Amino acid sequence: MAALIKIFFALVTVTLLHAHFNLGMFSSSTDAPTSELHEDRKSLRVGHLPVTCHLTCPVTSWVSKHSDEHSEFVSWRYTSWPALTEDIDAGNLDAGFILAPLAMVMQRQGTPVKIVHLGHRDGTAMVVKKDSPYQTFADLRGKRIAIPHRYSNQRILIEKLKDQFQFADNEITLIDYPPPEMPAGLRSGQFDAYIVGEPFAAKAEVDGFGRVLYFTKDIWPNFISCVLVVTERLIERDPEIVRELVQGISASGKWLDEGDERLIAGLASEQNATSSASNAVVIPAAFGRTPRMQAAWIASRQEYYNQDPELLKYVLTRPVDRVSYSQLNLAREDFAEIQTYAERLGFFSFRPVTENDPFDFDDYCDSSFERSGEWELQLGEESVAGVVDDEMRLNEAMPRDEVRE
Amino acid sequence: MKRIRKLLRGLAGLGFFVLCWQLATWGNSRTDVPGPWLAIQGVSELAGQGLLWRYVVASLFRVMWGFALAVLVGVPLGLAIGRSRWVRELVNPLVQALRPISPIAWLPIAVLVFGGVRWWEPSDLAAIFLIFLASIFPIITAATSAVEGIDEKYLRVAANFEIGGFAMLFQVILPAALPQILTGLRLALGIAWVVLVAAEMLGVQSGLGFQINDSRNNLRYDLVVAAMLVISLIGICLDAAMARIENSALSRRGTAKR
Repeated sequence: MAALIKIFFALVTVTLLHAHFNLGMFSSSTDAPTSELHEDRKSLRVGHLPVTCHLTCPVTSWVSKHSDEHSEFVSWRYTSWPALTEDIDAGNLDAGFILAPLAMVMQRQGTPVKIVHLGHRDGTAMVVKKDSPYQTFADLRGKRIAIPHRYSNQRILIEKLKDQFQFADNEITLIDYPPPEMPAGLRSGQFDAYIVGEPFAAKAEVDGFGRVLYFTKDIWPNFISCVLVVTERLIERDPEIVRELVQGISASGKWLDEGDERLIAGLASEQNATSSASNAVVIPAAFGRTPRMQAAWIASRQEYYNQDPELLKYVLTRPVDRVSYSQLNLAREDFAEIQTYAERLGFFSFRPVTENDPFDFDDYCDSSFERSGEWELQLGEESVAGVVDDEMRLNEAMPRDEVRE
Repeated sequence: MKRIRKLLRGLAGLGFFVLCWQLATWGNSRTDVPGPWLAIQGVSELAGQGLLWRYVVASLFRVMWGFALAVLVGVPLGLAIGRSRWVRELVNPLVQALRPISPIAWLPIAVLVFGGVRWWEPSDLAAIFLIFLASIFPIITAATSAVEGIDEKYLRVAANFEIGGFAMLFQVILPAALPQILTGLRLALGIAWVVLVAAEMLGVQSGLGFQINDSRNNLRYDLVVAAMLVISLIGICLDAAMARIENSALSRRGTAKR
């Protein structure tokens, strides 16, 4: 009996510890992930993978955490696509970044999700071994190429290249492969090339055995890989928070591409580290101060990507247009092109698109949140996103919190 | 003296493995298969960030609950299957049908079943469910065969003394079946701990299995191996704890192994 009591006591203890330290219960700290039912300040979980394509998500989350005017967007990191889509299906997650064709397939299959914004443009590369003879896609005739997901736009890109280089259908073998393992797979010769979002393409380059054959910007400019998706139940329940999220993502993207070297709220430079607020995160001077470097520093933190900042830095700067975060508004013709290929590849074979059962842009996209967004709504967002007042300009390196005091 | 020799031999075996590991991974950086030194550095990095013990707590939480629920359901069910013919005929085919399915196959179903739960983090519940599934079948099997293996003499003697019902259960059947049940529990706990990495592939944000899956995405293989080391260590501790419970329960009945 005594043993049973001991076991019970251990169970209760471990539950309390877990609830406190991992689920953030019984604590007032806003750092910990809290439940969606926050009393005065709304909070929304946004799912993403630790890939560079989703960089606007941690930035928006960071901005929302360091500003009082906004709802809190909690960045929720998944380790794989299925884990993320299953959570959407199950009703545990209402917003997230997913592959564009995958979002279409989900909607077509009956999961009520809407694409409300793009996550980024470009940011995908095709990689071959450094010492391989391949110079263009034509050299890959009859070879094996790894893709990140069956319903990825990367697969559609390969299809597009096959058209362009007049390949027969069976002249390329595609392999579904987990992105983190792609560099190792290429090295060990399991396939001859792979196409994937960053940082998994840059990884092979950084390690010295890979060579980028194509950046998407060279073969399909403004390539769309991942999109911001929200569930229809969230749109119904709280359209305001969706609007806020879309505008936050949009402002974060704009800042990433066009912002100047002023530090975002919550970051402090080394010389100001001691004087500024104790909770500000110090960014080393040597790391760089462009918005992308600031974002890389933020994203490398444990609660976001937990990744090596140097790798993120590499991806974001070599070259800078390897990935871009502007022009994120939904465009009908982009999706029409993706959908044409998706239909051809049989993505909707479970429910073919016919005249009686149509499927188009308005079924899977909702651009009203970006159209209805007046910039006045985003004043707070904008000011932290780089446009600062004169007082700040005089004292550039100072974080915003301190100026406010 | 005997104990020291045993310990030394164990250490020698481990040391030989670590030596081979070191030689095979000589000069590797983080991006290749990491060597033991990198892995240990990884452990200290995780510990330094304060992540390690948080993740250990999360993993222990899921495994303990999954396993405890499996014991609560599995032992009575196993006893019933072993004792009563009609329960066996009713339940056994179902148990045998579910048993061969890997818990990993249940991943999506676990997520959907616990979707939209508000009173606790749903992904935690899904992970607990998977661990429950992984450990309940060995428990049922152990309890069933333990009851079936009870010497007929005991039951006849009990019947002669007109013992029945609960007295029969608690004074005859359980004590007689206990050694085998406890061995089964020990094995089941081992399996539950093994399934952890798979169970934490779900949308959880903490735990040693999550650390492995997450470090793969982060291209930090040293942290993958670091988490493997910690999983191994805690697995040993759990097994030792279970062995202690086993021995103390048995020694009270005078049937301890040693």
